[in-house]
Amino acid sequence: MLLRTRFRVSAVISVAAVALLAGLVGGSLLALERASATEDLARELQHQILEQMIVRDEYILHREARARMQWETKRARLVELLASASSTFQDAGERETLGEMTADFRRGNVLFGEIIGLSDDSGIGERGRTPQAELRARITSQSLRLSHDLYGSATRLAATSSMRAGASQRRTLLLVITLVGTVLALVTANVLQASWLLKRRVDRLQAGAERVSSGDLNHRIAIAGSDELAELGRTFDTMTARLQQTYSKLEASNRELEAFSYSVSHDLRAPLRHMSGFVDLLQQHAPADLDAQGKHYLQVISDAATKMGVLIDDLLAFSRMGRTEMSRGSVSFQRLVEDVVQELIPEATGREVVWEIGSLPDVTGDEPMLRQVWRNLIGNALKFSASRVPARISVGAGPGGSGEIQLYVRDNGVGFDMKYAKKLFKVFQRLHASDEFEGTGVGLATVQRIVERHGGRVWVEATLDGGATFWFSLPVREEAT
Amino acid sequence: MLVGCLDKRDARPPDKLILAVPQLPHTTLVHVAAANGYFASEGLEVTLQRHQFGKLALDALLAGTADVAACAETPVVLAVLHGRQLSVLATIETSTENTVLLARADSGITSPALLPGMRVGVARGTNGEFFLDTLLVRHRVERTSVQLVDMTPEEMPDAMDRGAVDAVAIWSPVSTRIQDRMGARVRGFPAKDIYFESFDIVTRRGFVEERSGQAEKLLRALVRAEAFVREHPDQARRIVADATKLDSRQIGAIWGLFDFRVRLDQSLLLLMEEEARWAIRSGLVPRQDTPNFLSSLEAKPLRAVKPDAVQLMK
Repeated sequence: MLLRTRFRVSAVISVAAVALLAGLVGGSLLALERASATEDLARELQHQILEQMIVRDEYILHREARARMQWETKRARLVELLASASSTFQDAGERETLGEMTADFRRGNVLFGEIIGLSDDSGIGERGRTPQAELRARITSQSLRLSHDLYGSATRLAATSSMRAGASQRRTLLLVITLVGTVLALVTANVLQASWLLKRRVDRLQAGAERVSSGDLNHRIAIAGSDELAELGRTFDTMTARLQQTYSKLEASNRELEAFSYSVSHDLRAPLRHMSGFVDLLQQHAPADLDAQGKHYLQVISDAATKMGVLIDDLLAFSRMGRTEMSRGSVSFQRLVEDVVQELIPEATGREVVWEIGSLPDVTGDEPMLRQVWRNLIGNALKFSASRVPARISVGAGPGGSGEIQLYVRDNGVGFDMKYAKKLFKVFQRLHASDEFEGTGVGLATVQRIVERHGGRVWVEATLDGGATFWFSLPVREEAT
Repeated sequence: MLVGCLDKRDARPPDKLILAVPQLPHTTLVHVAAANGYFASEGLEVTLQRHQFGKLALDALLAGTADVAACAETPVVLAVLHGRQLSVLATIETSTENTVLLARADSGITSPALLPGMRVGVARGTNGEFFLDTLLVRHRVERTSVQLVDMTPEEMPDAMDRGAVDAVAIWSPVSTRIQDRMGARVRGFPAKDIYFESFDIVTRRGFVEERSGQAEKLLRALVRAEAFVREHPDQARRIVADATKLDSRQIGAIWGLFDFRVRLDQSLLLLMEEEARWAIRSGLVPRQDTPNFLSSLEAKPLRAVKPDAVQLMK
């Protein structure tokens, strides 16, 4: 399922759940309102019955017209309330109670009418136990009893209404809590589901991308599923496959190119040797009348042939560094650097050179290749510090970190402008004129090729006329244990 | 027979209780509770002691042969006026038309107002007597103008048939039997508008404290019976028919006269006081003051069982 479809479905379910619960809460609130209205009505009935009892008793005691009038007002009000109650109370038990109340109320009214009639007709007080007085007492007692029953019924109605209102209130509260809980649960579930899904997908994509970026073009992410990230994974795999194909083609082309350049370089050496040899022979057997100009020309040819020979050797070395199978082993940089320095010291004969060789680690790598790295870097330092007295050349290890060890060769030579730094490691790129400093422009390219084959990198820090520091790093895994 | 199945959770032996009860439909809730095993399931082993009418059941209580009695309020009032220490636990039935005056048609009594000079049969000391007095007052008839003949309810049908009395004040189902027997030769006069009677569960004062929890169990069983009667009236009528030896037609004819609810209301207090005043005025008891009947109403057990059934002012 697509992620957006999944999110849409989750959203729809969440909204539907919230809508459903909101409806239930709404219904519950309405029920609560009805229950409260019912309770109010029952309380009002109670109140009016009580007041009617009071004014009835006032009338029975003093027979004041005011009390009778108030009793009538209460009777009318109770008629209204009972009519309202008959349409409000729906529960069977409550309706039964209401029916009893209505009957008691009517009988009470009839009895009160009789009490009024007895008072008016007889005009007697409580003289002895005449039948009139006795009847009045009996009717009054009956009226009192009915009032109590009526009040008791109203109290029961109020109690049941109150219970219902309370229950409705609790139900509403419960629904609100459920609503909030459900929304929270749905939102949390959605977020967790999305984050879990995204994390699973993204982690896999990231890990795959890292492997591919580290050079493992055979790796495939292969995310199962039909969502967008799975689709992205498949697209990435397709892209990697194409990249692998292109890379293979490029490798093949490179191999062909290198083979070609190696062949060319190699094949050029024989005619060049002939040229150089025959120029030497010509110089030795030149006619005596060959003037100085002619001798100069022969020397130029000889020098050019020699230079070309060096160039071809460098190119062959460069090419070999890219083609030769690496033979990894433990290499002591300390020993290697000291050897290289010893080899180069003769080239500095007559110069004042201060060597500063720091503590260097053991590493794992191809020793001949790594020897070439040090030879080229230290050789450059010696070459470009030729004008310094004393020349100061430092070799050491940097702080390292991030899974690599860092090494440097620093000199106090002529340095260069850092804006040309990028050109420095390309083949045949030179920052100084060949007549100023000898060289073919292949050495640093060779260094870079060897270091990269070991999984490291090269960089440089320099200032014009302020010396230069050439750095290279090797992965820690290359470090000997 | 009534032990039935006890609650399995209660391993204690059931509390034994003798309940004096008249074989009348008034005590429907007692009959239903017994028949349905509600007493037993509450942990009560109730023995029903059957009597013809409520006053005799109360007499059994007063004599100490029963623990609890079911009877109308009038005998209770008279007993209290005579200084007996009683407690009413609950009302189990009320009615306004159950007791009537039945007059022989040939006596010329077409209205209770024509009772002066007539012989009226009544069970003295029962609510039948209070009913008769109320009817006389209602129709402004001097009590002394009427000749009261004390007789048991069972004697009344014959007395009426033979003409030994001109009228009787009697409750159902005896009234129904007389009407069935005499047909058009008898006329009935209720006092619906000013008469009210109740049937109550009564015990001696101190019972509630001495027999801890038994009153609550008894009332709980009766409350269950109330619900059963409300929900299954047909089955309840059959139970009552079996208990009272009445046929279903007779039960059906009088069923609507009764209100079977367990309660304890202020109106019972008023009724008892009214009857006490009547008894004192009539010289039925040798005293002049009305006792405080509030102390004769024991509301605590019913409050514990069904709080909203108690409507007594505190």
